[in-house]
Amino acid sequence: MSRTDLMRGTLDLLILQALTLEPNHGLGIARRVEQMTRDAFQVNPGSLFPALHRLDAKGWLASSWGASENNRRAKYYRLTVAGRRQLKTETENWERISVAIARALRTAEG
Amino acid sequence: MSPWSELPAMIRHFLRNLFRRDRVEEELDQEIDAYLDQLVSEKRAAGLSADHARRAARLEFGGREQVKEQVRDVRIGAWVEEFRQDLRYGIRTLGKSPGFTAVAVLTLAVGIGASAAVFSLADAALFRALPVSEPEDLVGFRWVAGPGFAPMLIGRVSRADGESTSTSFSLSTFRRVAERGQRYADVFGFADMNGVNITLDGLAEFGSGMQVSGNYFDALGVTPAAGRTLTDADDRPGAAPVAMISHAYWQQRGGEMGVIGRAITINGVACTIVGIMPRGFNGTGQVGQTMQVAVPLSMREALNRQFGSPEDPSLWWVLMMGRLRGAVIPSMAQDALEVIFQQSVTADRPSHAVEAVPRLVLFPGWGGQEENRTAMRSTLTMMVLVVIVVVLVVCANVANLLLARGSARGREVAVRAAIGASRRRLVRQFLTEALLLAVLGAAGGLLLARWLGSALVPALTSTASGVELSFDWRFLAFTTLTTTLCTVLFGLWPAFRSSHVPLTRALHGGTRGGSVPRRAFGVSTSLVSLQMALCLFLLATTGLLVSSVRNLEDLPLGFDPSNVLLVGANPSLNGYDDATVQQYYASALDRVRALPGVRSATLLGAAPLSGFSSRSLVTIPGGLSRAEVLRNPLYRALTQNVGREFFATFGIPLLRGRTFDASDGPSRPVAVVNRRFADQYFPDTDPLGQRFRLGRSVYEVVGVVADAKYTSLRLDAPRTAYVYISQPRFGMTFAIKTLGDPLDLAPGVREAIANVDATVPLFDLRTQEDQIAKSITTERLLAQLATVLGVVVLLLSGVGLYGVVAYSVARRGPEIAIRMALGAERRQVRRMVLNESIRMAMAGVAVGVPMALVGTRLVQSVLFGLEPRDPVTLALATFIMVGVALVAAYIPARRASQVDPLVAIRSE
Repeated sequence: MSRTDLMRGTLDLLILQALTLEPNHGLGIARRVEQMTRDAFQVNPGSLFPALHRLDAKGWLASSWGASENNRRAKYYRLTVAGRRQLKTETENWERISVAIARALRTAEG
Repeated sequence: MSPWSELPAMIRHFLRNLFRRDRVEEELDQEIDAYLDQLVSEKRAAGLSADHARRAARLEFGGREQVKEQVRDVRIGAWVEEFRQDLRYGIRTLGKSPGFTAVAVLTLAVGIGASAAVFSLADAALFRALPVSEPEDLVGFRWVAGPGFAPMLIGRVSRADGESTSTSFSLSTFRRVAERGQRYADVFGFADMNGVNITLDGLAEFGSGMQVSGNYFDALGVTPAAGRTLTDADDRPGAAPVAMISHAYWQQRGGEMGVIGRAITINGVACTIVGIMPRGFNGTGQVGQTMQVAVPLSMREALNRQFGSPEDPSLWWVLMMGRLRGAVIPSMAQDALEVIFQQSVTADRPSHAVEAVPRLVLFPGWGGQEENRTAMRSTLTMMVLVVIVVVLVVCANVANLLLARGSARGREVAVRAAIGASRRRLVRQFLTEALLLAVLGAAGGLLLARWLGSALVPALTSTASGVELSFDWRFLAFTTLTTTLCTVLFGLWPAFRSSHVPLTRALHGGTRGGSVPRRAFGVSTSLVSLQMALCLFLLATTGLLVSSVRNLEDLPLGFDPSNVLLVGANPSLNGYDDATVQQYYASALDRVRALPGVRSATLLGAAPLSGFSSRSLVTIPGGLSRAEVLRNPLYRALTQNVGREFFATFGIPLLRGRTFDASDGPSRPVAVVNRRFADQYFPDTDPLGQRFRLGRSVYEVVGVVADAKYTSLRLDAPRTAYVYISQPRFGMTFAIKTLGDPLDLAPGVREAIANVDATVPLFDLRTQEDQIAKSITTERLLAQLATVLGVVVLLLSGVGLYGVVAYSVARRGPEIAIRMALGAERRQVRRMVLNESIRMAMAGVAVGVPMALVGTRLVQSVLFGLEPRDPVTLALATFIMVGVALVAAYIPARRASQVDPLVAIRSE
């Protein structure tokens, strides 16, 4: 797995996670991810937009136009049932991998 | 989670992206606008002024077009859209440089066309299986014997290394092998009728037919197109005469179903048509052979009396093939059937010495008989060789074209990269253009292949005019493969190079549209040198082939072929008795001689150089015994049955004695021999009045004539005994010497002979000169193919060199201008450019000459009168190639020397 793939997979996972509570628009999702990761990830539009459209195309997100908090038109994304399922699988995967990697690193240290 | 659950969403998006593209794009724009809007309000909320907020938002957002492009890339079905765009863009750019496009497409068409034509020819001739069920289970049989085994044989015999081999067997042997070999194979027999007179609905035609054993169609698994096949019940003495007709003949004669049950007269015997053979089935003979009728083997005696008694065990005329039984492997069948075969041969000739019993050999029978295929293989190998050279040159040429073009397009590439096209996308764009060229080239190539393929069929063999070219899947697959290979070869590399141009350098580069690393240019020059080398090789091959044909054509024949018309007839096939046949020939000759414009006319057994000849054992009374003669190849001579005016018609000079005259008749067999015959058998005596034995008769020599070629242009005139036809029987050829163009007289001759008996069809009307030309068709067509492709390759190499030099001159414009500004003379500039081309040409010569020395050995077998390493040909080829290279280089060199230094420097 190349580094970009890892990054892309991670961003997808974070986007899905960011939408678990409520639907959100592009900038909202970006800010939420930044907040969730305590600014460890800076989400720029160049990766956000392709990711949103990719997840939309796979049917994990659904989109609709709505009014934003300051009453402007914005495209809102929400998690679909399939998206929720995907998030669960991906989260489990991620946890397994991170535990494994953490253990491996500890062993190397010790 | 299964990927299938994503499918509905994917399909929905795919369709939407494909068909509502404007809407999708619009929505993306709105979405980005909304995002920016929110970003601005966010900045405002953080306390920035309106202007500052907008600027900060735009800065944070980055390149709008790049973001959009990236979104487009991840869309489902993005590739379809992109391909459509690439295609449209490609068509537009190709259309903008029609010269480049035309040259590239034509070049590709030549490469693809030539390779497809030769491949389909090879496919049709070498690899096509019989249209029967499971042809791979079929085996053919031939025997191999040492010297001393020489049955009377109808069919082909080939001799090599003291052994002779043939596929003809006696009827009794066929029956024994078929019956006792049941456990191993279903053996069937058949025989070529060597030309038949067919009359259907009153129209008499000359065609070909086969006699087949009763189990023939059954064993082959051939089902009739209509009616029924021949069966064992038909193949019995006394059975009612029946026939099947071929699908092609049926179509040619109207194609009605009602033809079944009607009468067809074959060689004078009325037969009932019981069935139509399936389309494309032409028996199990040589590849390319066609036939009109098939009749039971048992009708041999009734239909082919002239060939002797079919039951005679010393007459070998049946061809055998078989279908192996389920678990039987060929070696097993070979061992078992060989025993049966050898027992049969011994039983038929009990007195024969044991060591002379021939061996039986099985060969794969999927393609029928194999002699023609074997003969064609070497011709096709040569064609394939020539075509490989052409394809290599074509690929090198197109690669060079695209490379130069790719370099020239550096700026365009840079612009596209700057507005967000990914590298992958750029490479794909170039590949699409290459593919577009390849598709256009393939379309042109297909047209060319059709034409070239059928034009080359006669090169394979004079007897297999029926080799049918067809565009089956393998042929299509091959063309597609060639096209794809070309695309990848010439498309990928320049595409890779061009998309690699560093952005800023390309954009800032001068009017030349970006620069290409020196390395790329080096590749171009090596490609040109490679082309030159291949071209030199092909030119040398062409030179050898053309000289060979001229050598063959210039050979002294020993007779005068001019103004001689030939036509064949075989009244005896109609079942006439000998007297009627003789009467027919006599009347026909009288009528032909009476025509105005006819100088002389004669009958002869077979025309010179027609491929038909018979060799006989010669025994001299008081000389060697028959057994000794059998072992000595010197005691075989060509025998020709000729009529009275033969020597006058063919202008063969009489050296001693007399030719035939009215006094010669059946009671006293006389012969005229040629000088080699006389020198061989009567070296120390006067040949006149001497006697020799041919077959059952003893002949007296009444005259000696000059040597004349008869069997082959390549061979010296054979020892020949001309025997007088006092009582013509069987098939004969009329030879008519005319005053003017013999073809002018053809209709008159046809009518005169037909007036004698309209039910005897005439066949093979041609001139003697045509006949000679036809005997070297293979050599001539190979030479023509090589000449045409040689010229094409020469032109391509010239264009290639011109392109590279012109490009280099353009690239070095400023450098040249500076040199001239510093005092270099035009002559020096010209020489500098020319030197560069000469270096490329010399590299080509350095590779090409050894290549030619080794490669031309492959055409050795068709060469005549010169060696593959012929120095004159090689020197001439080198001279022509270097000459073309100089001409191609001179044009840009001249242009370079005429550069106005001021203009050139300023434009930079």
